[in-house]
Amino acid sequence: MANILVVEDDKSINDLIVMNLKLAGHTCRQAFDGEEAVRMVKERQMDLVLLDVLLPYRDGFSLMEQKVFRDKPVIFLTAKNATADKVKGLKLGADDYIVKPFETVELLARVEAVLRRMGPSQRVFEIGNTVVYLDRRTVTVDGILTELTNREFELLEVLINNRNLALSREKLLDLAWGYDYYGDTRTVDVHITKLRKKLKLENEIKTVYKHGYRLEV
Amino acid sequence: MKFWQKIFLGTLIIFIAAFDAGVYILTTYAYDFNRQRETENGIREQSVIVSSVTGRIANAETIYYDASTNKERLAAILQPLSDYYEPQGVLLGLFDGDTEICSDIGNFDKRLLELNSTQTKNTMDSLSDDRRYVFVASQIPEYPHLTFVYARDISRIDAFRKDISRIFLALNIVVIVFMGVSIYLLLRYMTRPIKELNKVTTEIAGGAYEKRAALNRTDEFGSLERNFNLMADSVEKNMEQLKNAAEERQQFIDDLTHEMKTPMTSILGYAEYLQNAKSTCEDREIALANLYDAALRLGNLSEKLTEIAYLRGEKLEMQSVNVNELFDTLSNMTRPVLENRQLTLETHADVAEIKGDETLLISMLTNLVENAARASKALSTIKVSAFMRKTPVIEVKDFGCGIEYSQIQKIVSPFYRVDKSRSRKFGGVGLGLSIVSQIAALHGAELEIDSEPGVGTTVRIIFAAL
Repeated sequence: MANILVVEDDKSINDLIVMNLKLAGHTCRQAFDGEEAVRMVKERQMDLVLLDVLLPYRDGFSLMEQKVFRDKPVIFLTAKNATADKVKGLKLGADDYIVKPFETVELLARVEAVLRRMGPSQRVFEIGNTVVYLDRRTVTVDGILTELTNREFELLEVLINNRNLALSREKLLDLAWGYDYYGDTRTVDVHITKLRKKLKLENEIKTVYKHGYRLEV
Repeated sequence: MKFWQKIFLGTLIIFIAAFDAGVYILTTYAYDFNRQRETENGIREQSVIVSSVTGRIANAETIYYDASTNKERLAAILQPLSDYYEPQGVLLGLFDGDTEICSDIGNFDKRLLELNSTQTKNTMDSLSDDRRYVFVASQIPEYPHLTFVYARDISRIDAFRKDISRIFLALNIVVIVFMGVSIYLLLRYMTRPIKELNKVTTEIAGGAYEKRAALNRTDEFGSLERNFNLMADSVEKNMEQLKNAAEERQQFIDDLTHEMKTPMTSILGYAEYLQNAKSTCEDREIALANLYDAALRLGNLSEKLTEIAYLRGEKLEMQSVNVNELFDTLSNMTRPVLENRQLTLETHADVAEIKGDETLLISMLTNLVENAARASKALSTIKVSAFMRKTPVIEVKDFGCGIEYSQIQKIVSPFYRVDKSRSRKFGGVGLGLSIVSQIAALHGAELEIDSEPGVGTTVRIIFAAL
């Protein structure tokens, strides 16, 4: 998956972001101040930079004025949530803006969205004998095309984007059905059962006791 | 209506009224005076003519016995006189009772002829045929049945009055125009300071608090301007203070938000991770350790905030505090931090006692020593001493990294850290010196900070008095 540089001076938050990105299969590098970030972004090819605004030596906004950063997909990550700051960040050329504290699901979704916009890469996801073509919205099991309803596919996409993370039934309802859907959480169970059966993912889609489900890879 | 317009109209109206009243009184007096003179002249001339008429009648009587009664004879006597006087505007008439004997005079008031025996002369003037005449009537003393009437044309004094009035009317217009223009210019000039002040007031009201009036005058406007500027000064100062206070508060809230959000992000994130992620045992341990650290930091922050809130409402009871005991307590309290960093604390007291609140003094010194410890390299020393310098002074001196001169003023503000990034390499939440300066203020003490990068920092608390 993607190669991501996480620039954040607070070590525990930096670690947290890296741990979560790793779950989604990304490889990460860490920088704890502005100078380090500049060095790293020049050294290695990065697909995406998560950039904190308040940094030692050089702040995120001033880094953003450099060409190396402007040419890259950048998501600002900061505790400043004043609209003026957001606008400034986006005007400088950032692709998105995440305000602390954030939910892991939101972080992953935004990272995924920016990567999708940038990458010409075919978004194909393989689990065992199941291959999911996210762009074409088709799934093959053992090379045979399998029919999925729209809702089932959306649920599958949510699980893939948040792989290795348990999602509660409520969260799944929100993400796959939408916030305005007022349904029973049992609907989720029914759809999960169908997905497991159709895609032969009985072992990969784990039930997390009293919580929800997790796609493990 | 504007102020200058009121003064303008008021002045002009009063002036014109006074001017016209004067003119009226003057012309009326002149007219009356002229009429009086004409009347007197008339009386005199009439007497002369009467004696002349008397002489001629007497002469005629020597020839004709009925000269004083015969109408034709009397008319013939009077005719030459009439002819003589007519070009001079004088008309003559002779009456017997109210019967006309001969007369050039047209219509006139016949009451003029009603002469009492005691009255010898009757005068009046009146208009007749659009001309004004002064009439004088009297009996001829030698011939009492005859009444002689004299009429003198005085129309010219009416004409004179008319001329004068016309001249004054023209003068009036000239004066109104002249007065109007000069009063207008004068008023514009005199009310200019009002306009100027008005402009400045409007600007200040609109928010330009730095504006001032500049009239440079010595009159009442000058003193008004000075007072106005004084008022504007204090308004500006108050506004500045309010703005600064609001900015400080906003800065505090921003900083506090940041300080709280960072550990909150860690706590929520790691909790979520532990709950949801498919993680290894090692990952979970790292997550737990980070979670614990973040919670600890949040706890620290809330503790310091509570202390600041408590200090804000505090009124302390000043007691005598033994300095040696104070330093002993300080050593005990800071030992864990110092040992952790392999630092030595040296204390020295030249002053036996200090007035203050023991708990707060300990809190203040602990904060200062902890700050010093953070700045110091391992194996160095922190010196705490108390001595007299006019008033008692307590000094905390370290030989650590020091701070830039430009930063010294700012380091007492809440959450301020010399390292802008707020990296926690040196620990702490950035409220220590803020607490110290508040405690110092409560004691009426001053905070003095000397520092040189690479050499060290000295913080002195200068107490007011013993």
